[in-house]
Amino acid sequence: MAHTPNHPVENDIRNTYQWLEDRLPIISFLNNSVGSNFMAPRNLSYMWNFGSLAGIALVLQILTGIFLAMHYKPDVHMAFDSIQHIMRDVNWGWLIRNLHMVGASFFFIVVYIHMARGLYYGSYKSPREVLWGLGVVIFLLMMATGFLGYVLPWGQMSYWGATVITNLLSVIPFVGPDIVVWLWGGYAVGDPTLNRFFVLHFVLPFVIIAVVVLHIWALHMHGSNNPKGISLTKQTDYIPFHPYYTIKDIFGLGVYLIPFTFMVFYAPEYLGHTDNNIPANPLVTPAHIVPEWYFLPFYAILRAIPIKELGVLAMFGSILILFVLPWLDKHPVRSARFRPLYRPLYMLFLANFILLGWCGMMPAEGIYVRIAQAATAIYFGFFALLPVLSKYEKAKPVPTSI
Amino acid sequence: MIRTFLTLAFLATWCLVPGAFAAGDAPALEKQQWPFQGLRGSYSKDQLLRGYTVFTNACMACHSIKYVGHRDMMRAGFTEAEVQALAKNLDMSIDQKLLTAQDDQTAIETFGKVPPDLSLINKARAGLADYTFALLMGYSEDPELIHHSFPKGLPEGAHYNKAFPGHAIAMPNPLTGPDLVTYHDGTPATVEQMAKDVTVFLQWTAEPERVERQHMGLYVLIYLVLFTLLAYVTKRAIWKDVKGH
Amino acid sequence: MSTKPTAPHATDDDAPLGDVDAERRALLVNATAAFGLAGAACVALPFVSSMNPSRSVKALATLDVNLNDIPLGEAKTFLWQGKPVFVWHRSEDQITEARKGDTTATMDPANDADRVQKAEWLVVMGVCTHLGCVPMRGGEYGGWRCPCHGSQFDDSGRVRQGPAGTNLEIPPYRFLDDATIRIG
Repeated sequence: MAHTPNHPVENDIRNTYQWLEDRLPIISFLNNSVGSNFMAPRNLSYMWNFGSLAGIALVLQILTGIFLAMHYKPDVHMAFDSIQHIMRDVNWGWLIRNLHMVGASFFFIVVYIHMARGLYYGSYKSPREVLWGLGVVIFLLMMATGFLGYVLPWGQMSYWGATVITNLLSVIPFVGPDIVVWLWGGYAVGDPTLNRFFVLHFVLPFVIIAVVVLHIWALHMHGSNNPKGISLTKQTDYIPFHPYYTIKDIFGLGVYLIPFTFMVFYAPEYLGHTDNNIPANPLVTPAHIVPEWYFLPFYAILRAIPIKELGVLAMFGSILILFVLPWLDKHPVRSARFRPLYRPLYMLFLANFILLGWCGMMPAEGIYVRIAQAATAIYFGFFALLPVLSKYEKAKPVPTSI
Repeated sequence: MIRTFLTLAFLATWCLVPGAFAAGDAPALEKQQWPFQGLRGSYSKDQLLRGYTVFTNACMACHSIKYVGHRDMMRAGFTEAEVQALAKNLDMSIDQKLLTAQDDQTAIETFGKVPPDLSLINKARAGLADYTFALLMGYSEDPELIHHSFPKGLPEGAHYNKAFPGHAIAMPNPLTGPDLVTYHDGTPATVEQMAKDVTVFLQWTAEPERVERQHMGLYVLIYLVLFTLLAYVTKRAIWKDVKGH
Repeated sequence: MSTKPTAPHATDDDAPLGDVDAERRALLVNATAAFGLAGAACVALPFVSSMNPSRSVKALATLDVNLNDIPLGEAKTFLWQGKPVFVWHRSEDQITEARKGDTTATMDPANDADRVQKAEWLVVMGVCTHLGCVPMRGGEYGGWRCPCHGSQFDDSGRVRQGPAGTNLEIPPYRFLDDATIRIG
């Protein structure tokens, strides 16, 4: 791409494409990235739609978020009122806020499916370890952004969710309590907290974009994995991303937007909590503090362990363990299709993850704690078994070509 | 893989439906048919005015609706002259919000707490509109019922209510009997009618955008279904030359 | 950046499309693109519209001014929709001066009688028609001069010296009674 002395430069601006290409080769760059010069395996299933769908969901969140930020006020006395101002007074404010609220949930649905697909087809295995790791970074940033965003409406769940989650950090030895005070900018969640959470909620999505760029860069090194999990050698195994996968993604987007839109217009607060329509009150804690649904499995792990420090460790560990997944599972076969043991184990893991989510929603008492403990054990057991499987699992015959 | 996913997605939706497992202390609520529900649901101006009448006569002595003023009612189809007249009756300007005259201190002395603002009440309690209605209909003096929940008698200053979690509510029954108000349209003001009307009014104060939202959603969905079908046909046409598809 | 194959369209040679198929394909692609872009344009509208004045801003669109507060011969400034409005209680002399201007104000000719509802009350926007500064009382023509670029306005708010080219605007207002006007 770089200019070499013997490369004639196009100076006739009427030859627009070449003229621009010789100055800023952005069109060929896009073409190589997501256009007709990017070759993708031709056997990708609809499970591969969720990567680009996640990208679209991110853009939609940023777009709606920017317009909401024009009307929102990060001040404990005004935050709740400004949300009502958006819902009642701002032209189409209710639509933009509903898109943002429902969009957050759907973003997580898409990313969870995207991750589950990677887990099933071994997309994290060599040579895609860094690609996977960057994905986990994006997931962590998303969780942080989602948490910060849920605080902004300054309802009861916002306030008490923020209090409970920030207090988790107090388990850090020696400096924990100081860190919590530093995070709050006071001795409880308050005005300084809300103000900085707003700033961070605004900034983090752009950090996510930066990591997404790295994620796509890493993807382009070896291309997409595929349902058979095999490395493709023949040129005929590939088709250009554009138009084949662009149109497939557009169709997928349509399918995605139908339930999404239905929620936006007919059940915008269905996934939220009624307590968040009560202004924050530092004197009264709601009867049941429930985080947003996308945190529930991890929340269940936190509460399953009766020792505070260990619970926090287990919760963070349950996400961080994803970073070392490529080194836990070193089985040479990628796709679960050809792994008779990994496949049922994977199903169990997924079902168990949903069970954990259910536990996170239930009060932390009696039988629910026992179930959550068993589910936590299965969660970590899955990862503990992977090195064993890598050694002893005998795979079915793997095809050499698609 | 896709089949597995659909199964799990179904399982997850079923499991994680909020409210599918209601918390133990909240009494089960009877589901009502509300006119604002459904794809073509709407608020009727007459019912809103009836609900407004109940609110201003039976609730506003203690409760505010701080996010709504008379001018905002123009969004529900009232004309400026109509809201001017309504506001004049209450000695208010149309730009003032519906605030109670009771001050917080008096409220605390009388009820032990400041009565909550009702702007968002239908979105702020589990059970939503059904809860508001059930609460208004839930007062009872039946000694057997009271004795069942409170063998040692009701707590001081509390009132028995079937729908309220814990059954002891500080708010006295606001709809003590029929004909508390006279409706502009001659509808008989039974207790149930008043409870229904004021619940609908409170739904409107909580979600004034609801009708616009529901009506618009239908068009957006129709557009999206058409778009998706078109995209699918195009996808099929483009993929025609790929082997194995 | 890429080590992957950069094959030409791998399938082109295998199964060439017939003319009919190619035509149908092009038609469908165009239809999807057009339909999708139309939808996207519709989505953009609410976002653009959200930046326009909200209901609560529009609700503050009127301002009542008590005229008893303004002494004869003096002008007071009020804030209406975020902008200053001058209400000038003109004396007999000032009205006479303003009427003389009917013939001498040539930059943007207008009759004083058309610019007031009652001769003793001149109500004009306090926004210079050049670039929006707030003019100050004074200048050579009895009315205002703008501190930013020196435009001058007379007793009727007519422009007499540039760079402004048009007279001070008159906001919509009406007399509720002899002592009150409602602006907006």
